[in-house]
Amino acid sequence: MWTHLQVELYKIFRRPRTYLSFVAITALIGVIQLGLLVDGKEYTEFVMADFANTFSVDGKILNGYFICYIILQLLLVHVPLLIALIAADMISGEANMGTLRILLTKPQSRTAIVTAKFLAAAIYTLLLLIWIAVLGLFVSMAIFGTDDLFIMKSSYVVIVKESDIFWRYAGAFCFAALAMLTVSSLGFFLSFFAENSIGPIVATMSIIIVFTILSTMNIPIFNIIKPYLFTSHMITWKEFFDFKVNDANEAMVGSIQYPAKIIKSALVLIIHILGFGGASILLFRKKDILS
Amino acid sequence: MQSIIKVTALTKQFNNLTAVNDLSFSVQDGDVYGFLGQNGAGKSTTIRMLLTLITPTSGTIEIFGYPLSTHRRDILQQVGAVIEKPDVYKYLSAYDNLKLFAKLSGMKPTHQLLMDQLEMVGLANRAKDTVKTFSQGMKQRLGIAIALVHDPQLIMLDEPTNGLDPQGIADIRNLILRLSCERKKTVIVSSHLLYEIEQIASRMLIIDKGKKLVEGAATELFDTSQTILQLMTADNHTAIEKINQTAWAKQLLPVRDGNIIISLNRDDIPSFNRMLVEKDISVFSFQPRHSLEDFFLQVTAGKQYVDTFTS
Amino acid sequence: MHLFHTPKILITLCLIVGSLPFAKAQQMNSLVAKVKAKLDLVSDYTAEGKMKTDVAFIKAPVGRVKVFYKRPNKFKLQRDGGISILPKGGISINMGSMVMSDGFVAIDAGEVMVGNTNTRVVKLLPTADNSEVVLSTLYIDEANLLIMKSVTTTRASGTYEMELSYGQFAKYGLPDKVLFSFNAKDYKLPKGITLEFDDTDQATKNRLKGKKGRVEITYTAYSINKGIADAVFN
Repeated sequence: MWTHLQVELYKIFRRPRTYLSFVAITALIGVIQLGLLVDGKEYTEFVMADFANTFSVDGKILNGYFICYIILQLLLVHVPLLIALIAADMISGEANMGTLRILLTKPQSRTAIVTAKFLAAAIYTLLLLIWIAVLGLFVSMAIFGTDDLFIMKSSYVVIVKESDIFWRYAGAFCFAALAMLTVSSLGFFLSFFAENSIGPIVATMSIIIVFTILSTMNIPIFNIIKPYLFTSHMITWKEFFDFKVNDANEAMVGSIQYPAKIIKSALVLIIHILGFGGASILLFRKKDILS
Repeated sequence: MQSIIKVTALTKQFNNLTAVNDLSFSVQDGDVYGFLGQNGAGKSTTIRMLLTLITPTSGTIEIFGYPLSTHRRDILQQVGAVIEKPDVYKYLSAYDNLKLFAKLSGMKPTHQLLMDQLEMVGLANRAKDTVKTFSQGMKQRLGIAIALVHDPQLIMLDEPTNGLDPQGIADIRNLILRLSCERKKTVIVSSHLLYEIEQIASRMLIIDKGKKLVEGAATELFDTSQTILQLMTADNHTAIEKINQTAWAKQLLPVRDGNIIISLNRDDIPSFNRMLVEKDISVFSFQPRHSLEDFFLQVTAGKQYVDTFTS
Repeated sequence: MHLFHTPKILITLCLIVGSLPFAKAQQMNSLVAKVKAKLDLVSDYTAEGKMKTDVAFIKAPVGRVKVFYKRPNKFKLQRDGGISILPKGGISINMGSMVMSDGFVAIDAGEVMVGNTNTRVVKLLPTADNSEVVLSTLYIDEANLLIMKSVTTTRASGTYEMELSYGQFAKYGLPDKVLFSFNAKDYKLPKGITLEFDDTDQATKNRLKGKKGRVEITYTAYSINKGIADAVFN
């Protein structure tokens, strides 16, 4: 299987399409960074307009940590498309090209082949996320410097102490990895049902878009199903940036407000990943290759 | 002689369609085994079952004496295949494609081995070019190089000449003969074109609608004394009327493609020709047919299969 | 009754009631002057301290601050790294500006206990119409001439309350701890900006509502009358 994984990674990274995602990420993050470098003050003033009526906020809000938070917030909505582009193509693309049948006449077990493909898609996803971390976090830190992290949540404001941030990003990125792996496994799973990659890519994105809309809309009938939508759990990375306070409303450094929420969401996502992955393997073992 | 492949009561159903129906045959060591049938006859489905791409609904397949269902990996180690179009990774070079599939076949290929393989199929000078710049024939040859790179004992070629020009077809034919004669490989070639198979196959199987029609040595199946002729005349209707007045009438077959078809003993051709002149039938062309249908007419003339192929 | 809804009427009424015992007013004026005189012993100071923001809907860590003051009314609160949130305009009301130097009427409003200290409540009303401060109430420890508490209503930024406790710098009238209270308005962000699924439960939402906000500064070191360059306040 190791050979097969190597081969799959080799194939992924010899395709121009793969680098398109990295270029897209670089461009997106670059644009955000440039925009905030030039007009960051206006942006923060705009975001805080309501808050600034009552309070004056002193300090370097527009620092690397803050930029990375904005980038994650914006990007994690769009990265699924880039992931789907590769993951949803893993099987369907080969079926379309006609290479799947040659691949499967090679003396490798189908389980090994599909597992290698699944892992290759996962590795691509993780590399994409690492790239986001490098550009979004480290480059932002280099450009904008570091300071406390000021976050406006929907009903309160959180200021995370500078020394208390980095591990939260580590956690958030790990969680984002789970969220993106869920997207990757969904795309991978759907790639079984078509012989061209457009269908599964569009299907993956459609599911994510529809679920995200259902997750964000505050309509009672949707609220019932919200906990069952994996998209509701994909944004739980934000919980890393909320801490507990003691009775005197003092921040407890190194704490997380709702650790149970993170664990629950992580479990939901892991179940999805294993579910999609397992179903893919089962299906693939039985699949008649007619392409 | 040892059976390399033994297929027993193989059946594959897709929903309501029975693609392969109770098919049994065996391939001997060293055979060039022709697998004949019209498009949709079930050839590809059968070959795909032999390669584990499709799971049979029922029946058994033994290859090299082992059940395919339980010894898949060991068997595939000794099998090379080109299935229909020779599709490879278009964004990779011929060399990279070959290397990649060699690795997946469990090899650690050397540069020399890969280049030799490309040399064999005449692609050594294009080794580093990406496949998207290749012609259909070059892709087909690369596909064959991939099928052969791990030096398999058994080679399955499903419609290997599809989309090739005459030179490409001749190249493939020569390659198959070389593999069989020089390297002692067992080759299964499927095709819907009779003349391809008849030139290379030592044994053949003919199937239709998933069922076996005939199986046997090519020399046994061909009745060389009988020929199917096609006639194009100025007025087919009148010509048929005139032929019907003669003793040749019972040898007439249904008109196809606007041509009069007649089955004749080779020795009778000159006298038939004389009759045409005597009856003042203007003949534009007068030639033997080599299509699969005609072959069936020939080997099964008057038997139940005729209907199948002429309807 | 309707009349009493207008603050101006109310103030006027207070003025009338307050100025009735004229002798008392004189006394109050001199008390304020004495407090003022004590504060004037300090021409400048810098102090280091810890600042804690306690607003129900703000979660902030304790931050380090540095405070600079120079007579008559230069004041600067500088954070020592990090981000700090302060009620707008409020914190600049310092010891110096808390006690208006002139142009006010001082009214005795009785005695009240602030903590364990008995204090005299003095209301200061500016005489000028356009004064930024509308009303300032001081709770003065008469024995030590220390302001224990002040409630200041400003024209633009609402009402602020300061509670002060003293320690070793009491002789300069400088507090060890200042507890700054204000009415924190509920605020709500437009959804699009936060990109957040609002799943805060109703109990939490209620807890966050309508509470008073507090900023607590605990001073750890004062450096008094050492001279400060004006540039610091720019």
